Amino acid sequence: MSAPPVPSLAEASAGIADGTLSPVALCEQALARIAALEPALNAFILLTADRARAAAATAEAEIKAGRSRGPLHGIPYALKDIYDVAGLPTTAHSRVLIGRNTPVADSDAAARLEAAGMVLLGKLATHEFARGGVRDDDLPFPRAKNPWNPLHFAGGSSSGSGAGVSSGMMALAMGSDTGGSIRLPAAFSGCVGLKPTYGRLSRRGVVPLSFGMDHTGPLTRTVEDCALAMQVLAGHDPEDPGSAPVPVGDYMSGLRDGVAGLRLGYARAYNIEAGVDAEALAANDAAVEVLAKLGAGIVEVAMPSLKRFEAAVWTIIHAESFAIHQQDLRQRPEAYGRTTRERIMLGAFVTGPQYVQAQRLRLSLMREVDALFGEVDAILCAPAHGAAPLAAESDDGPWRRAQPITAAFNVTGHPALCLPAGFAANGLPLSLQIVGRNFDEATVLRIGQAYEQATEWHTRRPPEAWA
Amino acid sequence: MPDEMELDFQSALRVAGISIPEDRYAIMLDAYHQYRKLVAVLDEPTPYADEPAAAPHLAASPVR
Repeated sequence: MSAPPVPSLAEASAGIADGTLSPVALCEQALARIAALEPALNAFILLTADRARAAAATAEAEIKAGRSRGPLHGIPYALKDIYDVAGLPTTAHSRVLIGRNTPVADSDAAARLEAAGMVLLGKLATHEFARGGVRDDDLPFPRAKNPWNPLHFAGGSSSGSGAGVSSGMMALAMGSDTGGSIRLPAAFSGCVGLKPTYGRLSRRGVVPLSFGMDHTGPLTRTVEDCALAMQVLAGHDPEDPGSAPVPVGDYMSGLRDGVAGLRLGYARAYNIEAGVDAEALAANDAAVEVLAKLGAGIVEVAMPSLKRFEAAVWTIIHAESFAIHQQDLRQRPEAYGRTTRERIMLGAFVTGPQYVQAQRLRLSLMREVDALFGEVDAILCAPAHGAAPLAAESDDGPWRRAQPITAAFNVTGHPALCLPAGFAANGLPLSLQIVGRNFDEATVLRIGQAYEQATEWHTRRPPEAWA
Repeated sequence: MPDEMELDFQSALRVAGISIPEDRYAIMLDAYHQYRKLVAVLDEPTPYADEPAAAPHLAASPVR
């Protein structure tokens, strides 16, 4: 492979700061990596190479002139194609929006990353409207593939983000998470994904799926990179009704403080109730042991029943997504891919009282899970039933046989981080989920950093033989 | 002859103003059955005063 993976955000930042790495050269490295891998991975919907080269040259000139904008200045990134960038089409991977959705303003996330001097590489594949599935023969763009094995599901809906970061095309990609759509691609593609607290990151300029469940957040190679990105992305946005006027944390200063003295709650029974397979359960057990050896106190915690989370989350997502799409579903249903259309149509079955009951149940679940944080500093559990399934065996119908278990924390809104935690016998990544108190992303990242640095999972790279 | 559940399904589609191709009817009907099973927990009694999570949090109104 003539185009090596791009360095992490932290490595690139250090190199640019000490003058050993040029933003222009880094941009070319990213573009070469994309050119080498993209035919096999389909991570991108839109590659903005000319724009990236111009932005990298500007960044290099600014830095040389002593006008550095901070640690991410001159480093490439990419956006799931539900984030608006002024002048670029936002398609949400759908014919519904092609030719009718070129925004005039940046999403909040794009505006923050651009202000930090980052270099946009382009827009990434997603499940259609962040709701479709693996089926892509009726979509305008192919689905992103899993870099560890293209025959397997890349996770979704931020599939291009996970594939792009994991394969070393970029060190940061933005995703969105309504039921697990940052954390599942991170878990299946073997990288780090953070669903921050509901309201911590703005959703302005991001195509909505479910107002009450949508979260935006970063996917990165390492936990440190995730912290670096969060420092730029977090903040109150009065133009997002869900945005919280809570002061932004310091995600970097305590990152290396370790876990000694922390009390962690292992939701092992929840994993078992959810049907997590033996390999993933063993990987989670081993991860908990690692954290215990690092000095964390471990107790088992009892989560509310998964069935209650599922009733709340899917009732709300079905109803809200149908409310958003009902006009197009009535007038031009053929413009949607079949999986997306049928999944969103499930909202037609939700009654008004069911929606209200789901919102009441949600509040109860938020309080029940929040109460656990009176006993522990974080909750540990699996983000998925196991490693990525074969794409050909993944659900593409309206009703999924196995609902994502990540969705519990979309219901409660707590921050949840996924990071590599081993490998299945078939060579595909496994993952650990770390859930923290509301707006305490700093502790979640601190625990993730301690675990990551005590293991070697994050150093492994996907094979390139198929590229 | 459709059973009561299937009549509810057809009614929900009619009220929503959407239709399903014939070859997908059985699959969507099954999804409807699955959804009804999933939300059975929402029928459990809830105290009158339990408010929903989506209750608005108001800021002060602007003044002239």
